[in-house]
Amino acid sequence: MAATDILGTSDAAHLLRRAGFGASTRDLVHFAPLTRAAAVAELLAPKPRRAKPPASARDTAATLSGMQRWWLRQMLAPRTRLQERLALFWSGHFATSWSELPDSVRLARQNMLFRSLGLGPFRTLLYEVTRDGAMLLFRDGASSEQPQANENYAIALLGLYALGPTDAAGMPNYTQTDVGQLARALTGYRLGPKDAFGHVEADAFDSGLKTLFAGNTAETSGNLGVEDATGVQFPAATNVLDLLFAHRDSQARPTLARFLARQLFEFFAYPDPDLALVDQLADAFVASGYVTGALVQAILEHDAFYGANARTSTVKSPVELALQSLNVLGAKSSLVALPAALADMGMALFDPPLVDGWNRGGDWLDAGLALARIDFAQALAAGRSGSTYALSPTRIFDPRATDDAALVDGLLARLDVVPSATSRQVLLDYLAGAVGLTPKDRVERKLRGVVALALSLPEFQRH
Amino acid sequence: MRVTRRRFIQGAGATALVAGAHVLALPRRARAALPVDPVVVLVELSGGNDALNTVVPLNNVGVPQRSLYDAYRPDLAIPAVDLAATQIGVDPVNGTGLALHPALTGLAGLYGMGKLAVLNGVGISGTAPFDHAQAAEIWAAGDPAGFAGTGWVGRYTDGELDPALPHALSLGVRASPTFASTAMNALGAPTLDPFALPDDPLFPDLAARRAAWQAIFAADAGDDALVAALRRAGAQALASEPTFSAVVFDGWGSQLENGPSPLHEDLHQVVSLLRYDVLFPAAASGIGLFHVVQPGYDTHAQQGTDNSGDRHATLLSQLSDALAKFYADLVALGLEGRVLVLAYSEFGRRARQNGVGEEAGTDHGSPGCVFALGGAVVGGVYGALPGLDALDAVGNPPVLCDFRRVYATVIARWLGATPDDFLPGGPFTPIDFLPAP
Repeated sequence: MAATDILGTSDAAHLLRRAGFGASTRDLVHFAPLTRAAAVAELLAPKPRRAKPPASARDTAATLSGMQRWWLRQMLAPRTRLQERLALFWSGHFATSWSELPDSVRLARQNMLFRSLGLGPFRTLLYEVTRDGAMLLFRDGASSEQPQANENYAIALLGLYALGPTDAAGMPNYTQTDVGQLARALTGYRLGPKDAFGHVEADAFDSGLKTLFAGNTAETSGNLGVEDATGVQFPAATNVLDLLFAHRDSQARPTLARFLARQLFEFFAYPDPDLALVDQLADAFVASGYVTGALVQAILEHDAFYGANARTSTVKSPVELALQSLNVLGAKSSLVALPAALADMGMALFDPPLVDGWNRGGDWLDAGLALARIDFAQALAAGRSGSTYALSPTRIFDPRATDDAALVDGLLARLDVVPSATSRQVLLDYLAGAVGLTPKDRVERKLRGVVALALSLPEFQRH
Repeated sequence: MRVTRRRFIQGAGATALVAGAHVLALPRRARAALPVDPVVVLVELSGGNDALNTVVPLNNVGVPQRSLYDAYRPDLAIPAVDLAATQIGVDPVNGTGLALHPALTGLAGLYGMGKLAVLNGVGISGTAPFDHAQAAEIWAAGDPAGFAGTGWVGRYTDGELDPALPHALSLGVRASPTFASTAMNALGAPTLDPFALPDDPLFPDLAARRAAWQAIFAADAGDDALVAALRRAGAQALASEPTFSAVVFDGWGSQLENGPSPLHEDLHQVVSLLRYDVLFPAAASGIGLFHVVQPGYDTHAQQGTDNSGDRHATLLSQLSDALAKFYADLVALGLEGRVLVLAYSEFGRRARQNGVGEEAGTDHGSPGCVFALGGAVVGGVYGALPGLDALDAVGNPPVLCDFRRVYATVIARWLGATPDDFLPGGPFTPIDFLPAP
């Protein structure tokens, strides 16, 4: 397969599940005849945006759920789906949580960074995140000053945001000394109560000699930093953000490119890609000058992204499960109930629970989280009003279907899921229990019930 | 009584399963020192608890600990005058006087009752990781080499307990890898309250759907590993629902009922489940291994000392209050002799503060302190406070007690198994906070 080949329905549905949040029937009609390259180009095309999450000076639970609802609406908008996908990725990558920082204005602003710069040059995003008000408060950068730097942001920058603790050979990418030296270079940021971004104050900045990455290709000594008191960035030779890009792992490969290529590939496709594939993607990332959109393009056009492994190897996140379900079933929702349902399933937006964001892959396989998924499937299937979910069985099921098997198979095809023969038979048996019901009761009880069962199929939880 | 794998195999021919429950009528443990149906509650203080402000030196006896402490922490040292009410025993090696953080009044009370053991200098031997995730995984794995698919408790359940039944429950959004086992039978849940599918009157037929789900989640020969795992999660959810949804949480007199912290809520659920299992043995969950998390210990800045509202003090106050109330609940239920609580953190923090004034905090360090609490615990101070006169190049005092010694003690002296079967790198000498059998 090549980027010039026509997608077809199956690949188009797969692409729109991963590069977006699921495909409506109309989406499939549009994307199926496109080539891979044309489809990916359309998804990647820049879409300037002005709307912002509805932050408020009163940081109440209602403010948070309003922001969550707003974000879900953005994700459901077909035009900007890939942009929102990246916003979601970066929001987990640079996890900054409402639980620890209930500051909706700052979290909204940070979220807009992930949206506007998510597909752009990673170097720019890294700089903006480094001086971002929410991050400076969340990781204590706003209180780190010479001569006693604190290491919170430095250790996250190295271990979570840019390099990862170890490389593909299991060798450490940096030492405790590097953490301390980097922390010194990041001192000096100050943040006023209304400031969007921090600025460096000369008095608070440690301008002494620092040595970063001793023994590495990127080893540099000097007055290292990010920006000076006038807001001008340090030249690349002494700018610690640039030194992260210059870092090479124990296999002499660009550490940052490998790290992000792997992270993004796993987010879009499947866990544990082999190293040759990671390196292909990392090369494309480097060749582009570290433009995230170029890396994403390389992933979405790659054969590995369309292979069997990419369709069956990981578990849908709650956001993926919920929005795909709404999209493929054509359900309407004011999204009032969804933020809480997502939180129950373990994915409160704007509030990633852990330093590395939300769960991924096998982390979702818990009894309590599984029960919450069943609960969501029932609520969606039962939904009759737009205030929760409005789902119309008569629009989902083919009115011309002559028997139960046709109804069930039509639903499974719509969900693009192939269950085990046993599970399919369970759905049929459940419908067969509708004998003697009025046609209306059959629709309201049994057809909605089959939707709830189908949305809970193990095969529908994975992708 | 929980069913061990060994007992299960021995007893399979001789004893009938009680209908509807996985309880076997087998002889109770022979050795008096080991409890029947031992319970372990692991409390992970996530983020790296500052051990040096948790167990604080009072003087310079043996080692100039107090002078160095004051010098290293001009803004974070807790004044000796504030520590009078929470004094505990002396450092058993050097004789230095010690006190708990002033916010730990509840734990100091339990120490006075002889129910709290304070284990000093516990950490990961050798080159300690300074990354949260790496250190936490090592603690969960019980292996300094890192996590490789199973946790230290998971290996114990694989080796000793019936693989078909759940024995462990991890409360939180992400289950602790401590319980990861080959049998993959540990439960994980953000909460037990509620843990039930709502019965919507506008959406009848829940019973029929429940039966359908049970059939859908039953193992299928054609499954690949991921679908099998997804089926297992669904099956566990449905199998657990009758028990967890029947547990009474409120109104039975638990001191933990109204919080105020998430740790209180988690421990409230644990003690309510233990109570349920005692009251309804035929429907018991059989779960005896618990993991809860108290996050927030990553005090790089604004750590504070012992003033009301200080960041570290607030965390410790919640910990102390929650554990004291948990223990009081256990006593009221007569369960304190069966329950062992271990509170630990992935690492301690640096001896020297960073920053100045109110902004001061501490960065990632190395050895920590572990609390062991329970009716069977031999209270006291175990292990020397790591010497502040012996900091390494990074600025950390030495690890004096490998963390696996704590686990070995639990395995040998509480669970009645052989530590070397489950902890690589042994043998590890048990610590006397639990009596030798």
